[in-house]
Order: sequence, then structure tokens, then C-alpha cells
Amino acid sequence: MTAAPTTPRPYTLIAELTYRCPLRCPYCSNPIDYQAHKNELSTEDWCRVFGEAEELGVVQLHLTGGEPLARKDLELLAARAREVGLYVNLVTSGIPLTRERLEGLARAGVDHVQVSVQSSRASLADEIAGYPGHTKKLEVMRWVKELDLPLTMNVVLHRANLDEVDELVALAEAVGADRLELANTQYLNWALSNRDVLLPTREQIERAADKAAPHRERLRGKMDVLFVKPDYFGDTPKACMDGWARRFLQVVPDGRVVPCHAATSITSLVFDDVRTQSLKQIWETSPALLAYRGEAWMQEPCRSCDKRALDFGGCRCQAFALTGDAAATDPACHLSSNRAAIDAAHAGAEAGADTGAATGTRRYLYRGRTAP
Amino acid sequence: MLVIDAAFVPRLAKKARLKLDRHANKYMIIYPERGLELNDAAAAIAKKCDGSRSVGVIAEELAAEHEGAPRNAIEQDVITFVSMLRDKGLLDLR
Repeated sequence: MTAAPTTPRPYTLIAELTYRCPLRCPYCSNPIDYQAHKNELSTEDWCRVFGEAEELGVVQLHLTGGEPLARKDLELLAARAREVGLYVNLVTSGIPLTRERLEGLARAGVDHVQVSVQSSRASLADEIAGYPGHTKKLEVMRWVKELDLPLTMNVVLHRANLDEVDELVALAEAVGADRLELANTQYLNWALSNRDVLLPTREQIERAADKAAPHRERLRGKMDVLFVKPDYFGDTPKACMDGWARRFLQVVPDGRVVPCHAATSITSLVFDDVRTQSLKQIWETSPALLAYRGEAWMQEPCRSCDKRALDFGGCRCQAFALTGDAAATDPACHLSSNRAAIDAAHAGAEAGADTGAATGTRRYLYRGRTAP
Repeated sequence: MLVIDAAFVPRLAKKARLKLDRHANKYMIIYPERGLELNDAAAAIAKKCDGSRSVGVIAEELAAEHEGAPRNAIEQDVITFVSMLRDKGLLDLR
């Protein structure tokens, strides 16, 4: 008999303010059916949520989306979050943004800006994003540094841009980024739909990781270079979100409280809504958050695995997407009886490695265009 | 890599906010998407990393505040802590 886990303290609130976005990236973490969720929380709802999050112990706030700039009340929200003491990270595509609005956001209390970049080359970047925004992003990153705000340049890596590590580091240095996140695609939601076109080969991953390592050393203390290897290429799963509903909590545009970006894809769960309950009540009692918190839900081989406190059984969304059972061992684990689902995807990537970047034969499934 | 010695004058980077965490009643340094929980000794050093005094002076002050504490050992602790801040990019080096 396992004792009920004590309620952990959340440190980070991911506030997905909207699913609206001018970009259409084929690895978007928003739900496939995002257009069905148009009932966005009001300014007052979000302001209350920020206060309740701080009371629960949250210190970091990510204002994200979709594109958070699509919210006309973003300045108000940033100001409220700062007022209750949160560290305000703005996670943005930089589009649509003017220098005046960025100055207003800095005045309101944004502490740090993370800008997404799709490639070091404008033509490829715009093709990946499904939107001609690369040049604007470079300008936005310059503004961020001119306003003396810390800047993270974030690049989601996949087959088409994984060979650009040196160029991406050079770009990040040129714009004066404080952090560079080279984050390999996680194959969930849109990225899972586009997996055949996005998944790199093992050789490509190893080459990119080898290129990133010396930059990381060279730039230590000046620019933080993160290279996040994708779980598809390891033997053990990632410690997804540091455990389900443990350190992170996320509120999606329509007010449901989830443990991570992809969790609404687990259709066997019903997530509770901040419009009908307090954040505290949801964090402590929501059946969906309790479902995979701690270890009581684990099946074999996780249940008796000596790594279960390190990787928490991996990613529940991936388990659900690839096996239909969110309580299954993450198929990224070599001990999973479903590991073949990952290996088959690798075989497809190896077979398709000659197509793509060089020949312009990529065929992404883009998310639909919505008015920003 | 910048060497941290007794003469170095540390100042926390603008992006790093030293904050008393009211939940744990401990100081933390929060910075982009990360946080660092400080023990009491580290917090005492961090509070003095404001660009107004050198590592050596910080060690002097801490030794004076804790009577009988060996100054040289404290200076080593300050150097270790400030070097960690340097490696995390949390020092203002301008």
C-alpha cells in the first residue's frame, strides 16, 4: 500500500493565453483541435490566477500561447504578474510586435523575453513557420537587447534545421542572446502528425550534439547554450516536466488546468477549470492532476524500476499517443513493451533521410491560419 | 574565463532577482526560466554582491558578522559561490 503523495509545490506557471498565432509551425505544441477552444479567459480571470499561483508557491511565469501578443491585455497581465512578485517570461514569436509595444511590456514588468527562431536562413525559417517572419524576428531580438532585457533565442530542432547548429549559435551571439535553447522536437500533437517529415536520423542528432558541446563550453558564463536531446534517441525516457503535476502547472486558454503543453491530448482525462474552482483546489484535488502524480499509478516495468524517481515513468502524453494507455511505460524506454513504436519511426526517418532539405520535397501539415 | 579573486567586485546581473521566498522563508535567485535556492550562508554572500565591494571586503564583513569565523575560509567560500554565479551567467560583467 503506497501512501498518498503529499501535494508538491509548483514553481512554474505556464499561462497559455491564447491559441491564436500568425505562425503555423508544423511542430506546434497546441492541440490539433485548438480552433474548437475559442472561449479565452478574461483579463480578470488571469489576474486572479496569477495571484492564486503565487500563493501556491509559483515563482516563474511563462506568458505563452499561441502568440501571447495576440492578447490586447498583455501589458495588464504582465503588470499584475510582476505586482504579485512573479518572474515574468514572455515567450513569443515576436510577431506582431512594435518597438513601442515592447517598451510598454518592459515597463509593465516583463523580466525576460524568449523569441522563437526557425532557422538561421530566412527562406527556410519562413517555410518552416509557414509565415514570412524571420527578418522581423531578428529586428525584435535587437530591440530586446537595446532595451537591456535578457533574451533567449529558442530554436526547435528537426530534420530540416538540425545541421545548422554552428550557424544558429553564431546568430544567437550576433543578436546578443543570453540563452540559446536548441530544443529537439517532442513528437506530440502537431509534431506527431508531422513526425515523418521532422524526425532526423540518429547520425544527424549525434553530429548536432557534438557541434553544440564545444560552443557550450566556449560560451559558459556568457551565453547559456542548451541542447536538449530528443527522447526518441535514448534508451530511457525523459523526466517529463519533472513529474506529472509536480513542479509545473499550466492553464490553457479556456481555463483548464493541465500539467503540460500536450496533456489535453489525453482524452481519457477531464481537466478542471479555473472559472469554477480555485487554482489551489484544482492543484490539490483535481482527479486529472492526481491521476499520474507520484507513483501509485505505475504499472510494470515502472513500478519496480529503480529509475522511477528519476524519470517518473517518462511522458504520459507520449504513452497515450503511442499505446492508447496513459499509464503505460513511456515507449521511449527500452524496457517498454511498446518500444517498437519508436523504433519503427526511426526506420522511417533513416529510409527518408535523402529527401527533404536539399530537394525541397518537404510536405508539412501546417496548422490553419487564424486571425491574430 | 574570468578569474574570481579577492579583488573582484561582484554584482548580480540585472536579469537575476534576489528574493526572499515567503513560502520556504529562504532566499532565492530567480532568473530566466530558472531559480536557485540559497542556504543562509549563500544568501548572506548574495546580498553583498551589489557592485559596491570586492570579494575580499565581503569576506571581511562576513567574518566580522560571525565572530571567530576564519576569514580565509570565508573568502574561499565567497570565491566558490561567486564563481558559480559566473558560470551560470548571473554576474554583471560590464
